[in-house]
Amino acid sequence: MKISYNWRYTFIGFIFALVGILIIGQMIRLQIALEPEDYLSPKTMGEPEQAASRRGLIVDRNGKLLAGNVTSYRVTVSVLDLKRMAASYKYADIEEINQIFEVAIDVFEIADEETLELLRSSPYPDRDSIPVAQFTTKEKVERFLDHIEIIRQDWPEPNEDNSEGEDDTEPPLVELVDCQPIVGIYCEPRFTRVYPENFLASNVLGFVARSDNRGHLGVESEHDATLRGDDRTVKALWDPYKADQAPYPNHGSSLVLTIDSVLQAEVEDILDSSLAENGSQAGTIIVMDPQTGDIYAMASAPRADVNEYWREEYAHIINNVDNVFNYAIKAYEPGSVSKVLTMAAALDAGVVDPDTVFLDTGSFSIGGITIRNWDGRAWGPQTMIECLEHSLNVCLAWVGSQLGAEQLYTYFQDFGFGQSTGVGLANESPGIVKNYLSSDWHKSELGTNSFGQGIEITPIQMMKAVSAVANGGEMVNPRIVQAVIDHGDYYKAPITSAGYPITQETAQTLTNMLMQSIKGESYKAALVPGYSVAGKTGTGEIFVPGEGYTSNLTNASFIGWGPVDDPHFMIYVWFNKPTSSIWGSLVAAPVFRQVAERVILRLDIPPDNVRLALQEDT
Amino acid sequence: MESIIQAYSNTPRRKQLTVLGGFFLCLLVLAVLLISYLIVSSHVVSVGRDLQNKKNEIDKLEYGNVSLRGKIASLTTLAEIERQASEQGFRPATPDEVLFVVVSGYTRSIQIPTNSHEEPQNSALQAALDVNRPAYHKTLLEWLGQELVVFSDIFEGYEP
Repeated sequence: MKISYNWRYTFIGFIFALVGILIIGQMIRLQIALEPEDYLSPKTMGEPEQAASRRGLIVDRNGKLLAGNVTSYRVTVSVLDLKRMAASYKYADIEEINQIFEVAIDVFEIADEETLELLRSSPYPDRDSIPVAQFTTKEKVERFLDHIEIIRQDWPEPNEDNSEGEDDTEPPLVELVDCQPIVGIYCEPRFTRVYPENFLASNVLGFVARSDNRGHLGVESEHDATLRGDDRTVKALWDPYKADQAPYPNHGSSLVLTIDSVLQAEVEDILDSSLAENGSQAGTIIVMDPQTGDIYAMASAPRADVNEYWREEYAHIINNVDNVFNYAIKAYEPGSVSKVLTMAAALDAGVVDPDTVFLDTGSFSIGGITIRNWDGRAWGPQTMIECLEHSLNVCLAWVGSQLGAEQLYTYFQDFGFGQSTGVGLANESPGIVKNYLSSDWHKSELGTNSFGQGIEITPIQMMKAVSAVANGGEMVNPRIVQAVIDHGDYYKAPITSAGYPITQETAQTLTNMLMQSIKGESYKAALVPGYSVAGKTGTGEIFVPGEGYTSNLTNASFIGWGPVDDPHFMIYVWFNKPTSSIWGSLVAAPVFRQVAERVILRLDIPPDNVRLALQEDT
Repeated sequence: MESIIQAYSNTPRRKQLTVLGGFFLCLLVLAVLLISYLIVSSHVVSVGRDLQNKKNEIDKLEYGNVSLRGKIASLTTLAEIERQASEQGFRPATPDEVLFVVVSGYTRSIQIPTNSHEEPQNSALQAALDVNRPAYHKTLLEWLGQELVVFSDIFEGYEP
């Protein structure tokens, strides 16, 4: 009996021993199975961990990258950690810390007085970390670390066991810089905005400031909320049960612009060479599809390399005093190009028709002022076509007076004057058009406004308004953003109509008038062989405070489109204060042709005879 | 307390053993539960660790991808392509050098932006969650069995 009990005790004891061995075995297995690198760095555990989001890309209509991101580094040196290590391992004395900072000054080209003072304030305050570089490249960080290696030759390796041994794994294509082996030196990768094409379309793009990581000017500012991602910060987890709470950043959405970067580059080249030729201080050329409102190119000069927006030489552009960052959305007195719209209003209201004859005596009095032609001449009997061809101020002031203030300003409002177009760019000027009922409006302005003086309109507003003429009466909203890509989903921005300020008949009549007038002697330089185009020049005098309007300083412009029966491009040219000639017909009209020729090739628009043959074929 | 000890000592030996056996049985059940808990815990811990490691890997890859994309962009700038093209003897065409020919029945295809389909963010998340470490999906006995097989295979000269 006793023997039987002993056997049972032994059995139970064996079971318990087995259970104990299993538990211990399981624990040992875990220790063996987990590789050392599977453990998280003790530095990050329990500390706030930021999952940095990536700003959305900006690409052109063909997928060409215009604004992207690169990996840059923030490098910090912890004097406290270096001193702690010095106490423990007897290395990194003050002299060596001094050497580290001198290397940092040299490699990272630190010029900021405050930082220099801090880095040379030996024996150094026990600050947790001193930033020595904020947005530096991988190459510079590696150079810095190479120098540190020389300084710390005699230091013991903090992780000697891990540093030895051959690594058979294939190195990754792009490796992040790892500062971890050096105690006291920390590198933190971060996303930084970059514009690979430098100056190209910089006036459209705007830039992201490093100080606040926000978009400024252009598309970057206007669509900042879309492009900007959502950084997430949580405490790095000790508890693996909560691993699913690890932060995943919400990356920003990407934008597809309507811009064609090849055409943009060509147009910018034309603009820059034209500015050099005609001596203008600034200018813009815009190419738009009048049927969809897509902006193919929007060149503006002067431009800045937005990768280095902080440079002194760009200060006057970047500070954006008076919207000079992008002349396409800057309001100015356009002069005679706006005669197109005065004539459109008069034709649409039935006040005149193309054959209406006006007797030009060389002057026209309205509201107590006398309006004269650009050459001071009396042109005698002129049809409305001739009025446009010779760009007669007197004639258009008369047309305006016949139309009356109420009708003229109602049409101007319908054309969108005084309102932003919503093209998708920050700081777009709404322009200035006075209310004829307000006390500061004077009757003389009915005359001057009729030929584009005394009102301020942006080039993009003018394109929107004139699209009604080119597009059979329907005005389109210009747009710079074609689509948004959000987490792999492609959302197309709709083409939106801005209404019908004039009838189809008016649009057709005026187009024919402008087609005829452009063939006149003054505008011949704008004609594009093989293609039917319509257009109008403009020479607006510039108001100088204290001197008034002066004929020496002008805004020379041209607006034109083609092919007139099926318009695929509309081009606006504006030069500010040209010196070679003050006239739009001499300065802007030839540039229209130059641009049109490049647009035709880029957009593959066949000449009229081929196009019409194709239409007949289909 | 004394009365309990008294009562227990007066109980027949068989009854004492029954109580003792019951106690040990409870202890055994508790031990089994503890083992189960330990297995589940180790599994969760390992999956959690994997998740954290994968996330770190995703972050590194993201930085790497961004750098590569930046490199591609800088190597394919319009200025660079234009330079290469002119080196190879290309130049922009002039309007009079372009000949348009009417081809019956031909319609032009519509261009679509080339990089309009980015990797969806949630696929990265999905990849991170798809952790499969065999060691933690097995019981201790299964693992021991597998290790023994591997060990014996080495001696047999077998190479998988």
